[in-house]
Amino acid sequence: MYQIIKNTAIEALGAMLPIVAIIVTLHFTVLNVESTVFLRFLAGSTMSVFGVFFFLLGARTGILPMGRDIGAELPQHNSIPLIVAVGLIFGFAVTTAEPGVMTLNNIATNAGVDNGATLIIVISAGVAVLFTTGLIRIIFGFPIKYVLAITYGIAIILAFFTPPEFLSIAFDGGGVAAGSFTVPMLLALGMGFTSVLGNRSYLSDGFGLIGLACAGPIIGLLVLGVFFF
Amino acid sequence: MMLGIFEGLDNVTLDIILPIALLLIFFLVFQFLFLKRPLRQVLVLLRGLLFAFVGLVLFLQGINIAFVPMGQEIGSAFGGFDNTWTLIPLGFVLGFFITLAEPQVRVLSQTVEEASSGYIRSKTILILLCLAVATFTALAMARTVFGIPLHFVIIPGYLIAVILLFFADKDFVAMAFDSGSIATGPLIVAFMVSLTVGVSDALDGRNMIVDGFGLIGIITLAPIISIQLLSLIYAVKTARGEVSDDSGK
Repeated sequence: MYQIIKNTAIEALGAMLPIVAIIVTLHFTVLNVESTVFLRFLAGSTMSVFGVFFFLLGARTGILPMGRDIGAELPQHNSIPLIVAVGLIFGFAVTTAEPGVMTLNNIATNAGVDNGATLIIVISAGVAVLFTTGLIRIIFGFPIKYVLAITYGIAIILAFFTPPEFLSIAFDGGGVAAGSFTVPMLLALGMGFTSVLGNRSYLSDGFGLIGLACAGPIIGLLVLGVFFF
Repeated sequence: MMLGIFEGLDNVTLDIILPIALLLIFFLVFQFLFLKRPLRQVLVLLRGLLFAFVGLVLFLQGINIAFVPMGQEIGSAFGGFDNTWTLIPLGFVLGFFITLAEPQVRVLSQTVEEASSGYIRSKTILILLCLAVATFTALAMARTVFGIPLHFVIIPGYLIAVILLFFADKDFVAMAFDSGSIATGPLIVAFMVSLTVGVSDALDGRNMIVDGFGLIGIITLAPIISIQLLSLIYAVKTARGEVSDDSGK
């Protein structure tokens, strides 16, 4: 436990310090931002370091083991509907709690994209659908290359028909969907899943889950842009 | 509060309660139907969720009062400069050091070294990834500064990524696509996207949404393309017999 706390603390600091250092340097050399803004920045950075620390600690000690257990439980029931249901609900729930997704939604709202929670819902639903596709792919052993080529091919074709303001947010949505919470969580479930499948190895079958899941939000948001705006 | 650091904390808390509750319900249902773990393990899970909840509130509040306004401030300051092109080298430097500091990138470099049976050194991969992310961040900045339509960057970029799929090795392909978002954690999203949104807001004739967003999508391409290219180089060298392929496949 002590070891986990120590490693998590180091990681939280390591993730924050470089960017804080760059911003502080910019402040003193080129920009001279107003001092209240700068003080708020220092206070907020400190808050964020503690935030990352508690978040990762909670995810690692409590939530991840549960994800792995669920993953190992899934194939034992020999039921595709169960895998689909759990993949969809788990993928959705985990993505709604991803800080990167919330952050993108906040910035979009600040910039005047009045979407309520649409962005979060579409990104999470996209991850849910393609994560589940990834699990089913592992069972049937479809080559990852073709699955990736088809999904990203669809995204490229849709991109031609999407208005510019949707294109930018759609591809950003794919990038934020795989974050510090979703990646370990989805992998934990995937690892548990492959560990009981016997003849499948995690290295060749488990990989590709995240890349595939990222295409979900891209396609979801592009479809939204093509057909509804 | 003098600095207003708790401003909006109530909204942030409300935003987070829902996803955490969703996870909690999901786990509890699974616990009662299938897992049936002892109470002690369930309590550990609950403690984990509580930590994650507190962590998320602190993190997002910190992002909202620190990184978003700072990013916009710096963005509009740069947007107001006569030499807006200075953003391009700034993007390069930011991209390079952020990737260098990201612990996940080191794990990935190690994995690629193993996948190439030690032929591609993890140090080489690390530097390559830093340079790739730096270049794509600079490209994304250039796009915002000059107002280049995102279609012209995203479509060719992903087309290259997909075409490479057919030539690259299977293990490398999965690795490449999985690590697309490796350099774009929530902090980078908060700071960099706010920055480009700030720049587009400050420049005449730019749209905050069209030109401000898209950066993350572009940066995601960096690992995807560069790792697949590495695999091609490795394959060519293997075919020429410069590397002994002892992976046994």
